[in-house]
Amino acid sequence: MTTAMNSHTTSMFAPEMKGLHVIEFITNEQPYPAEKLIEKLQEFQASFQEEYEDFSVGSSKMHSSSHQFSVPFFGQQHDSRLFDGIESTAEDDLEAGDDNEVEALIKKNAVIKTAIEKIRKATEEQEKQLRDKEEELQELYETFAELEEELQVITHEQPHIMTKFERIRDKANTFNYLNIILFIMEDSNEQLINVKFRPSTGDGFDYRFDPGQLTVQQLKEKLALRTTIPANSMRLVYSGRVLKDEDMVDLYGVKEGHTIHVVRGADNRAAEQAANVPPSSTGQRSTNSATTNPFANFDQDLMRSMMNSPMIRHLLSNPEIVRSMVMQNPTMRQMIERNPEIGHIINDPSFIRQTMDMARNPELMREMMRNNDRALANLETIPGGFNHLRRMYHTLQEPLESAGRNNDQSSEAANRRLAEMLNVESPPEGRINVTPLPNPWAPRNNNNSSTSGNITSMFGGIPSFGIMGFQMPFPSPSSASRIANSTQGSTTPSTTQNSQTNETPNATSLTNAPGTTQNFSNINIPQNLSMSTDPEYSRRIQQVMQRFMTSSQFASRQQMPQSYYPTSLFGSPNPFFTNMSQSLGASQTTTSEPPETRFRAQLQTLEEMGFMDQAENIRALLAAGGDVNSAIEMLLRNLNSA
Amino acid sequence: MAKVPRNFKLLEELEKGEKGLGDGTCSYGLSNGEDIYMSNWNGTIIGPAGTIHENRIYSLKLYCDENYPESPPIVHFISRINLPCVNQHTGKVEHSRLSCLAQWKSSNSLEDILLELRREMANPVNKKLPQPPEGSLF
Repeated sequence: MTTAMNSHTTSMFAPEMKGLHVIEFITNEQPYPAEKLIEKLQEFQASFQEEYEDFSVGSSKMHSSSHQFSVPFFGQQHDSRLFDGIESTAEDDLEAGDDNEVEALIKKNAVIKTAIEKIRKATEEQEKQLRDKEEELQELYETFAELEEELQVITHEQPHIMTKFERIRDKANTFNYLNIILFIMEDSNEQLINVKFRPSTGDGFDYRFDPGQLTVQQLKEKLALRTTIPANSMRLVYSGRVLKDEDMVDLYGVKEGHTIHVVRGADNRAAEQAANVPPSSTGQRSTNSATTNPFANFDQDLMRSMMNSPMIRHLLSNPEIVRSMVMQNPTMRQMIERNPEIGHIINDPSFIRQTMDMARNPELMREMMRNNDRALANLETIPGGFNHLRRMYHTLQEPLESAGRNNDQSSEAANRRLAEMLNVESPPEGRINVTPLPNPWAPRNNNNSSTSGNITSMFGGIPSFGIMGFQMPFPSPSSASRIANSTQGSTTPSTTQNSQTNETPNATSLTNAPGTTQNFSNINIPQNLSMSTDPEYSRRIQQVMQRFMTSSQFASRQQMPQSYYPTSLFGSPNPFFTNMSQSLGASQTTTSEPPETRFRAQLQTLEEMGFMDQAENIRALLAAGGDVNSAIEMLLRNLNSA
Repeated sequence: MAKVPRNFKLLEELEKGEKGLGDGTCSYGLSNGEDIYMSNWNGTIIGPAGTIHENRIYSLKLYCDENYPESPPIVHFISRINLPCVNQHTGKVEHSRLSCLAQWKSSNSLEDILLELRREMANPVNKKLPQPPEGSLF
């Protein structure tokens, strides 16, 4: 409104037109913000007001008209009609005045009219745009609110989605950490160097590569892309030597900033040329001849320096990260799933921290290893300790190793490996418990039998047991065959006695090592191995088992799973018993050999001890399964009873 | 003029050789990077273009004794080559037949020898000399 009024008054009373500036201002194509226009016009109005007053005082003729027009303009929008009126009245009023002046006024009036129209349109346009924008914004707000609401409903209804989301986020974080670590590892491992290449013709160029990862041939192929020389006629000369295609580049000790000459040689002469290299050069830096394995040169020093870097330190100081890193390894994860104990270890932050410290400090690592060895050695001297060791081996070492190997445990290959492993295991057993090892199938002159020795013999036998059944053509009868033989014995009291003496250390060691059952189940024997079908064997085995089971110590303390009981014995696919029957069957084959020859050494021992009745001795030995100790006990008992 | 100690001089030459600061026609370096006395060196000469030696690379061995650089190194060709200055039985470069060896100055370098040998190859008198098959060794 002010706009209209001001413009009008301008046209009416100020021919020289300060207002033209305003018009210029508003006729500009650019839509100006409404407030700016108003401000500008107000400014102008104020300045014009003074002029108007001067003018109206000086010309009384104009006064009435100005008065007449000032009123209806307020609050009115009908510009055109009013302007028509203005024009007409102005003409009427100014009849006496200069025609030119009137004409000028009319012109200016028209100009102002269009200007006002423009302003109006522009402001309208702007307002409209603003409204549109506001509407749009409102719409967006509404959509946002709707989405938020939806999200709330979803998270409220399905909280697991939220946890899933968080887990995914965590995983992403872990992944990032891993990537960082891998990046650092790769970076520190991959030693890119910048080497200048100087062709005999043309400009030299730089090429960045890892001399430990490229053979000369590979390098040539890469260089062939950047030169005009094909790889097969390219010769590389460095430090007075022609580089041989099959060598790793780092064999020649190329370093950062060094220059390798690129020479075009005669085609297909590469092999001949290679012979040109002095023989002395081939031996050089052979220790450096890195393989393509990226971790081959990942030595301890590098590891240490990496571990000492603050970033890695920070990363690894967070056990959660380390744990998730370990869990990222599928074999490790599998192992942990199978062996919850290991999972506990990995979940233990202090253990992880210790491990990290160890990785950082090789001395500490060595110290820990030594402590470990010591602890193991001490453990072995404790009665029954050996079984703990064995258990440890089975529950920790073996799964760890097999996880590392990433093999299917149930395959025959795995069994063979296990056998191999156990064979490897046995020498240390023999070394540690040197003297008292009762070996039923070796000549024996020693009557002392220490507890640990007995345990070793019994349990040292058991794991190998399953393997012997199908692996070894000559299954040395271990404790199982001894027991089997003892059941064959005719004299009932002595047999029970004997089996009791056999069982006592057996049972105690079993109770000492609750994990022994695990030992059995750890031995994964293919289930399809044919079980002995001979009913005689089955009967005998059943006897043996019954004896085992009815032994109060055994049954009460051992808490065997149901399948171990004789009733379900032969229906159960338990590998232990399958093996047992196997090795029993096998042991039977060995008895085809006359006992005199089989037990020659034992017989000799007995004779040396004064048991002169050979038939009796053989019977005792047969009953004892070749165990001199048991045989002696039996013989003594027989003597006493006689 | 100050006398440059042997090791300083050889180290300087080694750096020059490894970085290829020469004209690119000859290359040289220690035959054993761990040799702290820097006595045994390898060298290669790229056969000059326009001669019978073109597209051939000649391998040499150079031995710098403890008197280097006062006395010249002993230079042997490993690749068989037919040059007047090279003993055709041993591959040894005869001191008397190569000017820079005959008039050895302590400021001379291993590269100078290689370059001189290369010039010998490109010498109009020698450049058409029949050569043994490439790849044959002394």
